[in-house]
Amino acid sequence: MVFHSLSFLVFLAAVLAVYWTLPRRPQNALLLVASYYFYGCVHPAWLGLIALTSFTDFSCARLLTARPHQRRAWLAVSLLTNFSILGVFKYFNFFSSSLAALLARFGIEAHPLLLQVALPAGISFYTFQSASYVVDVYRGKLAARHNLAEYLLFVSFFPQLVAGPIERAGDLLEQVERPRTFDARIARTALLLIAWGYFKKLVIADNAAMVTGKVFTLNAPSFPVLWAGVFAFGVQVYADFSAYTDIARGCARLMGFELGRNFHHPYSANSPADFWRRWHISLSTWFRDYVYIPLGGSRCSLPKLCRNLFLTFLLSGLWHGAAWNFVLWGAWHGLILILWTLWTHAPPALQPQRLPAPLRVALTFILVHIGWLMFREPSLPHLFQHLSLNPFAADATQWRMATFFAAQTLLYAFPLYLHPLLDRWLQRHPQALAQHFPGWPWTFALTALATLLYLGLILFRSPASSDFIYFQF
Amino acid sequence: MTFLPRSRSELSQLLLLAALSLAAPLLLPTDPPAESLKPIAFDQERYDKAARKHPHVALIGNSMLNTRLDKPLLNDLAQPNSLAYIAEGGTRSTVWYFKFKNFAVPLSPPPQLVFLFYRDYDFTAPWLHLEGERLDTARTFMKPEDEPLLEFSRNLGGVTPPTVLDAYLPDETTRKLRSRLNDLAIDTAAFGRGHTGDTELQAQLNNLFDFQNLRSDVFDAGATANDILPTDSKLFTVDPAKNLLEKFNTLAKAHHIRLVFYRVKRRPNEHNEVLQDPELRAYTAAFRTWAESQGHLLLDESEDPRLTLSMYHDGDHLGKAAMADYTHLFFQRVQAILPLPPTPPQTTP
Repeated sequence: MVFHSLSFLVFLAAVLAVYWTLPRRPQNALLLVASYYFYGCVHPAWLGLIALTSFTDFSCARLLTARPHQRRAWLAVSLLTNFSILGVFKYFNFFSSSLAALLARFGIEAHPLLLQVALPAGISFYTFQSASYVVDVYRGKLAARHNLAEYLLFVSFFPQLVAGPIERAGDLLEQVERPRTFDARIARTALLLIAWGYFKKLVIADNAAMVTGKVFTLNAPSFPVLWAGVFAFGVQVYADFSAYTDIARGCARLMGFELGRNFHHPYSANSPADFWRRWHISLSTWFRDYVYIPLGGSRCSLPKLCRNLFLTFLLSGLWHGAAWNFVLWGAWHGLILILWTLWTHAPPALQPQRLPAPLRVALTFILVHIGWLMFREPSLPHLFQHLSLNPFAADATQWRMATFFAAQTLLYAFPLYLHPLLDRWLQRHPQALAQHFPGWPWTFALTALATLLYLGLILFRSPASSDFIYFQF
Repeated sequence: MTFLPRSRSELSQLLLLAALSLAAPLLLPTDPPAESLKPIAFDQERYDKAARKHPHVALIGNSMLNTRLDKPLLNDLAQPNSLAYIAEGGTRSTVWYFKFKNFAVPLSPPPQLVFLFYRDYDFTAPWLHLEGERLDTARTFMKPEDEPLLEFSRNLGGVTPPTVLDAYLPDETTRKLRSRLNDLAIDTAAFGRGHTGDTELQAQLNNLFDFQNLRSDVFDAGATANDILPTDSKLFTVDPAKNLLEKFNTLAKAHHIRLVFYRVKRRPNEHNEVLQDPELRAYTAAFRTWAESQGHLLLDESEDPRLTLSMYHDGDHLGKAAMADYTHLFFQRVQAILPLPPTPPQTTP
């Protein structure tokens, strides 16, 4: 069941209708059943995996609290279970075929052992969410929970189960444990968030996907055409993923939950580090807290800092997908972060801060889009061919065609570029923001906006829609 | 129920937002009448044209036929046999049945031989291409009594009838707006070059996506629709509950028509081979056995090495330059079964 299907809307409406008639505990029971039904609709067998992960982590957290002398052992059991499941389902075939390819280079013929298993949807998301709970309990940041049902709901909460945001137990689990109240004002902003999410997915992302799809079917695109396609992919991936997050946050809000903000206008970033503070925030903070800082973080020598950055981003790339292009993508981000960090250690006159802000934003935008090419292109020979293209070899026709693709993307993505301006304007009304826009004048404004979004969705929706990109991770 | 104590007006504000947003699309212009209400528009003129020829042979199919046969050349080669071509791009076996029933059979006298050009599983997936504009095309070959058969085929593939949602989603308006945005993007890219610039750019874009510029793993949409089928359709059967083959057979026998199921060679690889899985080979063998047992024929050109990759344009379509060569090869293959022996071409002294 995907968010942009009629069956999901019917499912959500039915859940909400029953949900608000119940007290807290039955509400949680309903959400747990609904979440397992939602996930089981994709593939019933995957329910066993998510239940196994949840049960193991719940038990390990309790055991490591109850038996302090075995803390490390129970943490190891939990991590081993989590990452073994992830390893088998997500990475086994990748490593097996890569090893066979490597042996073949040395003249050793080896048939890779490949498992005939489908990658369970959302496995990377819920594994990280559940694992973070055990680590937090181990670190003493959280108390181990006693209610298994509430923990199962924390791991499987259906709005964010398949593609995040990756929530921490300190946020979501605590909300599961608290009573929720229906607030009409919050519900209104939730509806607006959902409408914006659907608009981004069905109008912006899916239309940009048509441009991307076309360009990436070309065997040998010219420099301008290729990069117009990459630009379209940049729009697509941002609109697609942030759309999922917005719909998830909107749905959760309708049930009285507040999920974390996963994106904060990432293309306005003025450095690669700033980009990662704005892009997939829940994942980058996860890697910061559970990989980067344990490795030593930034409180160490410069070479160690560079190593920590590179390793963290290499793992982040691998988290995205079991393929070499994702590893390269992670390595690329590690590399540009290292180079930018070294740049900040340059003499003051040469430091990046001396560049005008728009130039830094533009430079970051270009570097991020080089990364998107690696992310989008699974064929390494094509990737290297693309990276060696010469802009001066393209004639005027190629540039005109590229302009066409870019214009086509921009026309649909126009509201995406207005969004930061609107957000900035809203920041000037902190009182209204904090109180979720009270009163009729705000109601008229929000209603007009929601109507426009919905009309836009109806009129400009793409004729072909695809799954959310991050479902594959 | 746990409500935050807010005033009733806040609940009404929420309802207003939801109601106005959801109702807004109802103000948009609605589409033309739904497809199921469109009348049958049998193309009488086309039938009359075919009837005037008193053809000995009818050739039925889709773009596989239109992009392969050089019609004037084949007419010359096949003399004194008269040929009628009842081909329309994008059609599949349900529409071919309508063509056969309403165009070929009523001819006076009926043709003795009817060729049906097809790809792989076209006959056991009769629901393909029975939606939207394709459906309008189908109706030009239909008589009013064919409506139940159309519904039968559509139901086989789970093609759903139009719903209230279709009225709520005005496809026509969406198409127009999308087309305007596309024009705007073209205008932007061809800035300063006027209308000619727009036309040129459109042509250049078409050339850019010529099949030969695409990666080898890219197929045309029509071919893909043919390949992504439920397993059931890949098992050969003449069960009347599953396809129209038995109907073809009954009608042909009643009018003493011999059917020739002509399987075209799909786009080959760089070695000019079409890789066929065992499932498809078994299917074709079973199809041939059945056809021959009924007095019909199945001709399969899939393994003909003379049909090379260089002859193909996009997907399974042949390029214009290859049509004459193809027509000669086709004629060689079928000349022995034509109703009248073809006259040898006159050589100029």
